[in-house]
Amino acid sequence: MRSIKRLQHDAGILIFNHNSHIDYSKIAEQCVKQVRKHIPDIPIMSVGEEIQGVDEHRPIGLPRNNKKVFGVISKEWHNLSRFHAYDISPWQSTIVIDSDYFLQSDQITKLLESSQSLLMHREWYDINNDAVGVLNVGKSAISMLWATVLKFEKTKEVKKFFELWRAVIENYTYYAQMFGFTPHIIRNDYAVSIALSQLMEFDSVDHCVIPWPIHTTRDTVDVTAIDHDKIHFQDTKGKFTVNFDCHILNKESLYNACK
Amino acid sequence: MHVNDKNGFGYLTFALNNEVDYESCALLWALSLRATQKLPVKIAVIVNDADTCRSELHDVCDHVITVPKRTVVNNMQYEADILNLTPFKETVKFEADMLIPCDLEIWKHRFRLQDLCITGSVQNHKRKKANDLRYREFINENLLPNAYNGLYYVRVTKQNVAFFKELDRIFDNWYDEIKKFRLWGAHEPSTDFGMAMALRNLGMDNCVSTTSLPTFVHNKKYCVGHWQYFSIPKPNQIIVNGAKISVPWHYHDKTKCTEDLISKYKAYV
Repeated sequence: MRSIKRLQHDAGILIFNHNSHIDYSKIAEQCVKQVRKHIPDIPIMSVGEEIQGVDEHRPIGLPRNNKKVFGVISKEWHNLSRFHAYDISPWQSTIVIDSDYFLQSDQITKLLESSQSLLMHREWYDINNDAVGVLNVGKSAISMLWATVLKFEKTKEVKKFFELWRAVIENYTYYAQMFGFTPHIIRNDYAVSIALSQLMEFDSVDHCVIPWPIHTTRDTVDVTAIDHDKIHFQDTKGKFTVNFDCHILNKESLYNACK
Repeated sequence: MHVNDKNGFGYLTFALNNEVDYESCALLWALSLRATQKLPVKIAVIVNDADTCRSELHDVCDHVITVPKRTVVNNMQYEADILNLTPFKETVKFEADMLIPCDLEIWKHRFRLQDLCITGSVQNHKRKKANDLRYREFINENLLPNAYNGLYYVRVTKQNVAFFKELDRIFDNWYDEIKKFRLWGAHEPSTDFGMAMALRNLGMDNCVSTTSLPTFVHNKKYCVGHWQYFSIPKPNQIIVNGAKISVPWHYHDKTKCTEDLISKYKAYV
């Protein structure tokens, strides 16, 4: 059923969905179910290929080709349309989430309660190793921000941020050379980090950082099942479950678990 | 210079040319100060010979002072003469190969809490405290105060006169003095280690700051890691390896001080 409560408050969740060798729509559909379960009042919009269960949909064509290593094999990956989010979003406040980011709580709504116009994760919590860390953009002194969860409001500065994001993607080889990372796989994480640094004239971006880490499971961790209130994982050491919002990197097993 | 002839608050650096052109570094440093301080500041530079030094130093600095030559173990020992040489009652001393991207007016409040306030920690490009252990083994092993002569504040007082006298004595007797400490065999005369020993000898460890100010970005490899590119679009915007430097930048590598950069800074002064 279409959610209208939050529409009145002009906020929503945006999910980009482009299938590649994996049927991402299946993963995205489960992602939408998780959002519905934990924050039922907030409208959801899909972009790209329609996801079942969303309130709004905006079809767009496949973005520029990109590649990603899945396991040990490099495959096509269509992740380069997210800088359109500013133009596409119908809301004043938007949270863009990756379809592999599964909610297990309503914590994400705190981002909408914040008056900060741009928010992303910087710290990441490696669930397996029980460690919080910050990655760098290549060899530079820029700390990597995660594009996985991005809260933004429609302001002039944020619009500029999205323009810079697009420019970084379009000139990715140049930035790769300057900051010492591979140009072969385009990472939105690097692109948003560089774009925000540029927006802030390479000064501190602390005020744009979500004050808790993004919980992440590595590629080496398989998803075995997904319930509304917990996700089941398995790695070489055994099985475990988590009941907090979680970014899952192993797409193949995630897809299998969503079937 | 007698203390009665000294005046006010000012910034000072040593530019004693040898095989390195410190005078050009000092010129760039003075220009960067002029370009970034909101209030007028006084600047002094100590050179080998004020008559033959780089002429623009006279244009940019308020005082260009010839160092009275004497027998020293190396040019660093002239640091011990600072209270005689400075034209200021309160002096903030910088190394010549530093650039100032920020207004330092507010730093005065920190400086003036003590008669001698020496930098005790340095930053990396990410505005975090740098891990300097690689360069500070001698200090660390001997539990000496972690003094950085690259940036300090000093007022003309009896205690500070005694401190610099002790520093001079340590330089004069370097190879005997350093034997009193661990790892003595590997260290040639240097101002940082000399200051650390002098402070310890006089019980003045507390003159080395344990707070985040004063500080500077120390561009040595093990403090900041590998980096390649820097850009200075404006004097208050020094970007190194993708990060804006918000405190003085000790670029260390003198080849960074180019005539092009000096010309660029001149345009802002």
